[in-house]
Amino acid sequence: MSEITTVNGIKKLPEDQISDLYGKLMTSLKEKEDPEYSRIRNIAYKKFAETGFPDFKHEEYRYTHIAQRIPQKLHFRAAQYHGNGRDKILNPIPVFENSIIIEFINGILITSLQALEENGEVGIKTIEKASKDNPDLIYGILRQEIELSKDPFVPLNTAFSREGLFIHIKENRQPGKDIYLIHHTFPDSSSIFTSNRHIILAGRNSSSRIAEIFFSGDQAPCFDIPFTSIHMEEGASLSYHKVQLLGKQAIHLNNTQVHQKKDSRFISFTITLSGNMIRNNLNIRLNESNCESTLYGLFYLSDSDHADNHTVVDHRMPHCLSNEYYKGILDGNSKGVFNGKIFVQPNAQKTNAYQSNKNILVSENASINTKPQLEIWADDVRCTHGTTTGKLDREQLFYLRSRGLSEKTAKSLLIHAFANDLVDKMEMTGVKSLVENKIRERLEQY
Amino acid sequence: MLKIINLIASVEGKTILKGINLEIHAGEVHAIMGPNGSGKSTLASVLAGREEYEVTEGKVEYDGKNLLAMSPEERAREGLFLAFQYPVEIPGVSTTNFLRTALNQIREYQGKEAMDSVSFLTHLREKMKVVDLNQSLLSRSLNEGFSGGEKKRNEIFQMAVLEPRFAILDETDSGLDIDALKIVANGVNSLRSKENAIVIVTHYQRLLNYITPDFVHVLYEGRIVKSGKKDLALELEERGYDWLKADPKPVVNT
Repeated sequence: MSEITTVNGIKKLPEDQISDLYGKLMTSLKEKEDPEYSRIRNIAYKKFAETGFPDFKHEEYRYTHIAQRIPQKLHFRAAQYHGNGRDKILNPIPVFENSIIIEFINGILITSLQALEENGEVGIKTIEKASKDNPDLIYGILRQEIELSKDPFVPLNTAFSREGLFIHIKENRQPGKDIYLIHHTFPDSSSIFTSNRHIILAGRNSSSRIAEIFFSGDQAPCFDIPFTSIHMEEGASLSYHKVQLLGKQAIHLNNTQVHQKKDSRFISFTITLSGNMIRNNLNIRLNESNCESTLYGLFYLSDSDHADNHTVVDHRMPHCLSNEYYKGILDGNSKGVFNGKIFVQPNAQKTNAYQSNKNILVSENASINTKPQLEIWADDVRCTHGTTTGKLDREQLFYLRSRGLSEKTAKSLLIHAFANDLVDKMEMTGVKSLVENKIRERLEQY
Repeated sequence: MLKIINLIASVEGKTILKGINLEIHAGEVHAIMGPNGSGKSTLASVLAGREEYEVTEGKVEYDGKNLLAMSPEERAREGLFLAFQYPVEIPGVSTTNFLRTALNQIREYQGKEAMDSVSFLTHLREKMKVVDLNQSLLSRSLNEGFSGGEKKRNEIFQMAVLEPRFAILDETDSGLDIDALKIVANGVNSLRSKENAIVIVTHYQRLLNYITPDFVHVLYEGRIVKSGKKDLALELEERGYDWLKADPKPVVNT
């Protein structure tokens, strides 16, 4: 059980709040929702309730104390900022050309999917619609993920899931357009709770690129617990980019579960640029042989931002390759956490697994906890891991300054170079330029 | 131009420079020689403003200004340049971008207009010829994966681009083959003028075959123990340093 938080003298467990909210949700969905979906919600809710929110004694949440940060008085909210207000809010967000853009405001889908539902290359529909068309597939996935999950926010997400998408890249197709899911959360006076549940199915030998971008405002707390599961068929290839540009009161607990079949190739970029408390769980299951998985991550934190990346790469079959590279830049009073687990199961001979985490502490008050964890049960494998944490290199700073660069310029040049090493690898130009611009803006503040 | 008066400096509590006196005028080339550990590189580092070195006594006047009170970048903007003994590799920072930023920050300080990219590239190409630098090195990350010789040439190239008035070459000749040595020497010679001064810190006499110094000083145990004209370098080549070690008599130079 989690710690008690006190607001206005009223003591309330965060679990009690969630329980009230769940009761309200189920009442509102009564007779509106397919009973099978409601049953799945109940299974999920029960699984969450068994553990509740992880406290500081929870091994996986030792450095990320969620329970105290759950905002009081959580609300589901309707989409706002339509019309003129919306334009004003969305104005600073770049235009992604030649792309399919699907937007959510406060967790609510605002883009019409009519033209996207059945197109020859990719089908995009709501989970609700997809579960009517293909209940076995969708409900099967929802149930399976709850069962497999070890993180409490997976079942919590499904219990509260709303407005999720089912994205199906068709067999042998390579959509010419990149797909962007853009989540905006704009809390005003009260806290907003969002829980989107997306499913991506990458068909046999398909090749596609999908980005999820999360923006939120600073005015009030938001509590986002999105969950995306990615199912890759034989020979499928997917480039998946995630960017988080969140408000100073945003609690964002993100789960991504990837299943890979034979000969599939997955590459992900997890870029965290701001937020109060962010947790990214990225789990990869290499279920068949000859898969390739690349995990790139960059977190650039300031103020009291807290970002925690937990990754699991589970090598279950032979001849797979995984390569993980995460970099952290920590300024202000920020805290970072990196935990990378690699499992090599007894069957997974001839595995190649690489992991590296490099961090720079820009300020004296910033900190990072980093922990690589390898569990190897096969004997014919090649695994390496390494982690480094340090300040900006004094010799490099002096070299640049001795050529006339101000200390600020020298510092920002070195941070830029450190970040760019990863940003350069990004495969979706729209996301890449968004990230480049945000980093540049930050560096100009030095 | 530069006046060093009774300079005493230490690093990690150990006194390395024990009272250096030296005066350098515009138009002069000085060579500072001496055995390993005599304080040559420390002197270069102190002049460039490396933080690890603590000056406990003495002063350095640069054009009448207090050099030691300036930050490393201020020194550079005032026209001082240090060619590093061990140039640092900086992955992810392109030589061109870095040099343009440096040059423009120097120009801004000196009240000159920033150089636009076209004139900057013209300027770069012109200076590349001076040290026979391969164009491909410019687009690469600063010094990353450069050979020893390429790094040293890149130092002289940067010096040519930034056009300092006072340059210190810290063991630029070490690790260079004879061809690279000639190229570096040509680069230095092309910078020689009535307005500029150059200090060459070196262990060996060989670079001085190509750059003729006006004065040669021998540094030993943190002091200048002998000063002379270029013949002194030849004498050192012939006799080594031992005859000076035996009787280190401080000599105030020129």
